[in-house]
Amino acid sequence: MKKSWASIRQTVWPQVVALVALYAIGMVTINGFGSWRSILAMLVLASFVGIAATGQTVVALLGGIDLAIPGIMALANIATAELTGQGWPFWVVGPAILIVSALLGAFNGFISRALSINPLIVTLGVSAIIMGAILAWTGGQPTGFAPKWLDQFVAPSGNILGLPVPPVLGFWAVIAIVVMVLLRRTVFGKQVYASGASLPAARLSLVPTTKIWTLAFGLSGVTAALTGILLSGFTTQGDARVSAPYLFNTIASVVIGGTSLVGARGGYARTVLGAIILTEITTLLVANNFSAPTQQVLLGVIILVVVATYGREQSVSARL
Amino acid sequence: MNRLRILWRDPTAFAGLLFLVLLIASVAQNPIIISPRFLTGSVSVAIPLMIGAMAVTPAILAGGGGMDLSVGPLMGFVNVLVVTALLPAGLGDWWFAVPILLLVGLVVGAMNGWLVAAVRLQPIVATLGTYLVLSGANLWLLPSPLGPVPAWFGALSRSIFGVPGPIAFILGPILIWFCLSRTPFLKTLLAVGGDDRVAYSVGINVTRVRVIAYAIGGLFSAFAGIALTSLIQSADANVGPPFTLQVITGAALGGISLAGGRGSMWGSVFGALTMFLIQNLLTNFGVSVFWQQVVFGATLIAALVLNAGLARFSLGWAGPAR
Repeated sequence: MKKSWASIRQTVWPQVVALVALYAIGMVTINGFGSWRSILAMLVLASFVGIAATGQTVVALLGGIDLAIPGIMALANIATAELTGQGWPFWVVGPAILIVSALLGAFNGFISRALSINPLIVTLGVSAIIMGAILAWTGGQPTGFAPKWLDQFVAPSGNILGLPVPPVLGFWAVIAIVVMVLLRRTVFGKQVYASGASLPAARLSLVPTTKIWTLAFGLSGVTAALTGILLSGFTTQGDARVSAPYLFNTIASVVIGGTSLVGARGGYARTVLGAIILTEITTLLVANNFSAPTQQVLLGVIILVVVATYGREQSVSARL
Repeated sequence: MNRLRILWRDPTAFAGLLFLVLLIASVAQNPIIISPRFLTGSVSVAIPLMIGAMAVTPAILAGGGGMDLSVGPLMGFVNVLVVTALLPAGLGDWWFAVPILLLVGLVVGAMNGWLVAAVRLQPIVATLGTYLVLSGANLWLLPSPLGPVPAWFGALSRSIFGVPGPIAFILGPILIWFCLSRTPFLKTLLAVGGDDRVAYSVGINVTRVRVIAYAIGGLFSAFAGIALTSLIQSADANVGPPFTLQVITGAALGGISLAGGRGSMWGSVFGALTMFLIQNLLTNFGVSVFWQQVVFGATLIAALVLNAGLARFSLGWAGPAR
């Protein structure tokens, strides 16, 4: 019995069951929950969390954590709205933002590994620097205008070549496939899992651990920036505050998906499920007219219950 | 010479040194900081942060990715309970209120410990859960700020015979930790944090040690919440949660190893004091709040690099041996 339970935990069945159960609860309690429109709206919201959590997943597989995601997201969000609002062409602004974000992320990874400092505190410091700088830049007020085509790109009513699917979902699917191939089929992916399982062992197997950490955190910077750019289309303005929930959202969707924060167990497909489950939960709470404080309490309880059912660590005696 | 090198490697000594340098800089910049009047004011601002940094320390020392994100919301919860639960029930006097609030902190901390050690959730996730539950509960109990709080909260915010009154709040946690460090508990905690498998093999009850560590963190958070209430003289649901990231930063500046098993409580106290002095200096120099955040993050990273990083750095792609 205990053994079969342990083997269930290695599959994605608990997540799929949670996904379907939450959907059923929604169908029963909320009018129009199952309509194509509301499903698309939920998936669009899930895509923001999911894309932002891409880097968090890879970093978690290394046994690290990235708290700089909100800072980099806010930077990308403000810079997009502010610079394109001033008339700069997007094909200059977009790549420039991605390069800066990749470098910021890479700095996090390099410092954390090369100097063996805990990434939690390094990314916290870098995030404080970025947040302070952009708030000083904008004075803390929403600024600028997002490019028009971005509105359409993220609108739930948008379409790809006539198909009634918002372009952002196609974009998320492409990212998901690329990241899954990257993790499962490339040398980089194998080295990520090896470094996450045991740093000393990986190093002795000639895995360049500092390089892997630098690349992983750099990737996290890029996916955070992508989300920030997409969000500026969603809110049509640049606002540093929109990124705040993503500090914990990204971690929650990684963990709900079943990827261990200790490293080497999990993958991006799980995070996709986790992001959708998290969005389902928040949608259910909002649509059932729970007040904001109650939503927060219930979200906390649900995260604890969900993770307690399949995200438990091994006991000390089992790890001897 | 050898001793000097040991001192340099000792993170707590580094935290103390950083604190001394900043203290000298602060006094040189404006000597009024050590006048009795000003001292009481600044001590009362610094005390909640210092106790909060003490509160997060046992969880980090307990290892296994140990972390307590719920310190801030728990401080806020204690603050909110004073006005929403204790006053209406006629329990506002300090001989009722203080034991009840401390008990609440202890129980919430023990629940964190139970989630981490017995249910075996990853500490960041477990305490993120309590973070969300507590900060939601704060807003639910008290949608908008409310005052005043019982008068005795104000009695300690003044200077008493030239000694800043708020110091009284930190005496509790300091005494408790001092007594604990005279018992085998501290050594046991460091052993568990260093390597829980080894600790388990020599017969230490790892689960119990971790639950106690988180419970002590909850108790200290309650002390911090009482000090915070005395400082702001009112109840506000939004005042607690931002403390979480600050107290973690304070503990990190104090030289604690986030991997667990290494670091000291006194380092965290100095780390929090250092944070306060940096903020104070920047405010005196007229630096805006936003740029303060930038300088603050840069100081944190510079301190970490100087403190832990330079001792064992490896700039190649291969990575350090450990």
